[in-house]
Amino acid sequence: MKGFFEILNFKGGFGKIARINLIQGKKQYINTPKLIIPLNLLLFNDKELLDILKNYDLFKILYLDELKEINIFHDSFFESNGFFFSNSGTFETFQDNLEDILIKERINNVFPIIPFNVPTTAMSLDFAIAEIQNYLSECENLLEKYQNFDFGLSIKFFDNISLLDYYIEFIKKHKNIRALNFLDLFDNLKNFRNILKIIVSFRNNVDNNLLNIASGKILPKYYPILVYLGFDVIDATYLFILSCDNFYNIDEKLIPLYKMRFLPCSCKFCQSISPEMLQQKQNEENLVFLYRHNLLSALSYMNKVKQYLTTEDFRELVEKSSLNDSYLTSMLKVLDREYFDTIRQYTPLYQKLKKISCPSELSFYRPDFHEFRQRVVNNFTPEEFTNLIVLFPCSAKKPYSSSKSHKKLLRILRDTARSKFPNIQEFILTSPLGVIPRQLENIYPANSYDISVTGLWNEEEIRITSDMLIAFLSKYPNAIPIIAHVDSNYIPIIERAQEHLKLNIFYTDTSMGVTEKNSLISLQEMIEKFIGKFDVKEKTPILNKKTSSETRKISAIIDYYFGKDFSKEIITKNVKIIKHKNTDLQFVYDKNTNRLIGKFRQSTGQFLLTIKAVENLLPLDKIKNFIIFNGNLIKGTTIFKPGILEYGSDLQPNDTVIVLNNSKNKIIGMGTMLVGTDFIKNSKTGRIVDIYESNK
Amino acid sequence: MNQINKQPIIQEKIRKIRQDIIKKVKIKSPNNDLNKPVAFWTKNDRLLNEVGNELTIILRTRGCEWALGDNGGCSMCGYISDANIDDVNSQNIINQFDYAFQNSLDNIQNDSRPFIVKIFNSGSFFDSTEIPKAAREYIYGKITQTKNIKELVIESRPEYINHENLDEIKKFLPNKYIEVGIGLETVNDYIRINYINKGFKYIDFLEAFKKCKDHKIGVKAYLLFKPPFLSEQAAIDDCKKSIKKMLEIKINSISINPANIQKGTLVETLWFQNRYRPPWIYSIITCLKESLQDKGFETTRILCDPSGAGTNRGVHNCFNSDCNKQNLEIIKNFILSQDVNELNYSPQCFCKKRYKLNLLQ
Repeated sequence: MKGFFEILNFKGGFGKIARINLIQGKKQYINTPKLIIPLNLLLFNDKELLDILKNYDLFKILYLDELKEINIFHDSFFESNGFFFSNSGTFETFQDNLEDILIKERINNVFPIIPFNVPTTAMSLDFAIAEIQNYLSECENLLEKYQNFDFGLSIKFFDNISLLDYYIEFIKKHKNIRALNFLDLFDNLKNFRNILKIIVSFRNNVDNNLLNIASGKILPKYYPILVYLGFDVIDATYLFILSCDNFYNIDEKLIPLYKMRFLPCSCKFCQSISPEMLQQKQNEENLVFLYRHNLLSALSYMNKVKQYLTTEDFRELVEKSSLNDSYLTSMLKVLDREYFDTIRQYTPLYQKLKKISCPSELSFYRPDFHEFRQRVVNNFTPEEFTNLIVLFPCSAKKPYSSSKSHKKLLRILRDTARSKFPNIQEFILTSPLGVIPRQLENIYPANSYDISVTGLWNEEEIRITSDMLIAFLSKYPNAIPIIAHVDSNYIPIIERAQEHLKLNIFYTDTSMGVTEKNSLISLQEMIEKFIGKFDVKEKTPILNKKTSSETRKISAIIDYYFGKDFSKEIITKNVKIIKHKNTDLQFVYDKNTNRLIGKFRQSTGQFLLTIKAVENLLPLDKIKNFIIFNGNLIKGTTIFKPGILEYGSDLQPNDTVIVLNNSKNKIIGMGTMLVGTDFIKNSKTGRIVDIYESNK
Repeated sequence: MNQINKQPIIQEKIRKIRQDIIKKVKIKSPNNDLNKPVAFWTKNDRLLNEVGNELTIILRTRGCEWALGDNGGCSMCGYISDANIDDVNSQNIINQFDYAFQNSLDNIQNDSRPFIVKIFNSGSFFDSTEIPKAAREYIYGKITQTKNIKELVIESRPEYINHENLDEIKKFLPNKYIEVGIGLETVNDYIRINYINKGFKYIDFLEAFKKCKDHKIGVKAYLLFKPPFLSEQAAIDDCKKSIKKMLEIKINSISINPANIQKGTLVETLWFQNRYRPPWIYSIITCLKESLQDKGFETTRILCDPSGAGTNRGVHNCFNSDCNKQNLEIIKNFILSQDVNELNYSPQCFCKKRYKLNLLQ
């Protein structure tokens, strides 16, 4: 079964949009992430519920005997949906049923998942190891017997992370394992560190194109983070067990039914239940009500996850929902801090322009923010003509220069410095992004983040911003004058930087507020006092020295995306920008050669370099973002994994890449990465690059 | 006995639990009255071809050799608590038997319905360290003299079932139907060895069965319903497989024993830790129904007399005692009549839905 599962887009963390194709050759896709609904005779006969679910496309069947009795395989409902098949009984019974489904009945819209129900629990590590070895040897026989069929493998840890290697070795050995069903990974969130270790280890060691299923004691509040951790399918079975225990789902938590006074749900079943029913002792009627509501509400919640994943900032939902459980909060924090190096490889470098909310401290180390901080610092080179630094506060409106306050500030700088304006390097101090050079205010996430501003900075925010300030300022000579035009609450940040570096800092008088008349006058006086005074090689900026604001901006952006000083290879003189009428693209030309260097997409901050701009850069050693294509000519607009010979060691989704031919002597295309380096390393198939320009 | 390649890992844990309980039992044992049995009772029961009465006598012996030895015994069995640990001599055993037998003799002789006598020693009847030869012969002698007793049931592990013991019993009781109960528990070697710690293989059972057959002695296979580490559905699957196999080999009787939580066992430990729940009564009914739907059990008697049924420690459904009672009644009616139609009767309790939903996991 080729192409059983196909990843379409990474969306932050390990979160992704993908699709399952159960029947080869038939374009019938099941989009993920998705809940899988268990189906036994009891639920199949619940016509009221099934009627609502008739267009749902992913179910799990468990009891073949009883379903065969009602001739389910010849039901129109069955023929139009996708099914996973497993059981909750013995391995032997599963094997018998498998023979029935795959060989006798030849049913092709059923994907089998090998169960691992016995033992239910482990007495000790030795016991668990022996059981896993036994289970895997049974699996081995089965996988070899049915070589032409694909399978899902169930994985159980019994709370022992050391069992990881047994699975990984096994999965690597068997090509017809196409899905991993984690049975008990989330049963005990207290082990969040081990859970992360296991997930990351799978990410790094097995084919990334395997479908990941989360089963076991999964509560709806886990859904966003599970998807963020890379799970494509989530088993809804536990909802039925929770219903048996009399719990009502309200997404962020579960409440015993007898406590419910106001049903925060308007599903058909919640609308029709009487208030007296809620208060009754558990009985058949309220059990049925509960499982119906719990399932439907969970499906709605999952739809919310999918909506965020598709059009909104998914990370925002992950953060908000993680706050519903302290272990989830810890899990996200540890993931951000301890697994940044892995997770950044899967997190897109930018998103299409949207407001990026920072609802809590959990936003501080979101991987795209942290990546931004690192890249900005690493790839930014001080301009050789800078002789004055100005520190500004941020503005709520993005980009900063479009805000009222920054318009005023920029006016003062320009009017005061006049032709010496390019000698000023502006840095904007902000939370939680840190420090942003003016040149980079248009790129993600500087162009779109949004945080509540009270002027009260906490320790962590101060630390993040001042660390970054230290990193930037240490690139300059100690004695360069720095004007800080900020509110008093920014002072601890600057002072902390001053403790590290002996800085030459001058504060303007902003006691009335940074944009008040007196403050602006104070700023103006300071600039007059210091502009051109500090001795740098290029005292007077000369216009053909790439000093136009546009050139400074484009240079910094190119360096940000392609590596330190890369722009020096691309831009010979100043640039000229022509706005495209009907799109958000800005065409960037080199004034000297009149060559189109690239296109700047305002909605994403992406810079699409042209082949022309880079064609003289060979040999390869100057290029960090590259893909060596297995051929001389790219056909179509997508490069798949088998078409790749070599690749850059630090690529991320949405990175722009330069595609070279197999002899590495010609640039044959330019593209946007759909995945990162780790994914290429850890996959055998899949879409890798989206080509936006190629040599015909 | 056929060699088992690897000792089960749970053995060590069982041994520990067992040693603790043996110590406790030993402290109590001087108080045992070795001239009286642990218990005895009469009630109605299924005989081979009809409904009759049973006399059950539980003898106190030193205890099951398997449980007393290094292997620690079986994971679900707590009968060592009834044992004396120290040897119990022949005369004591004879006195125990006599005490029960004399007290029941009038009942037996005056009842119009035939009797089945079950002598259980929570171990192996043929193990001479538990029941010395002299005591066995005494018991055989008494039973053979009582006309209304049609059947005798004793229990033994397969290693004690040899030609000598079988010759002996057959010699004493040529005209009675004799049945040896063997705790096969499941036909699945992996489960029997690794989760139950039974210490013998299916092939050992088959060999014992053949020996009995050669001596025209019947065998009753005990099947443990829901050994530890099995999910509810796995228990149904496993027991169905075992029943099917037993019917295939034309075993004389199958006795399905739903696991219950006995004191001082590994199963009890798991139960305390919420890692084991005794089976649902619904599961037993489902299992019987699905295994016996094709009939084919005309030559095999199906038995099921769960101990502790309806309690927290025994096979049970919900907390509603009516629900438990009614469902157990279904099993009882089926056992007495051996009519599968009895199993189709389904009393209404909402816990049936809960049960069905729980089987999803």
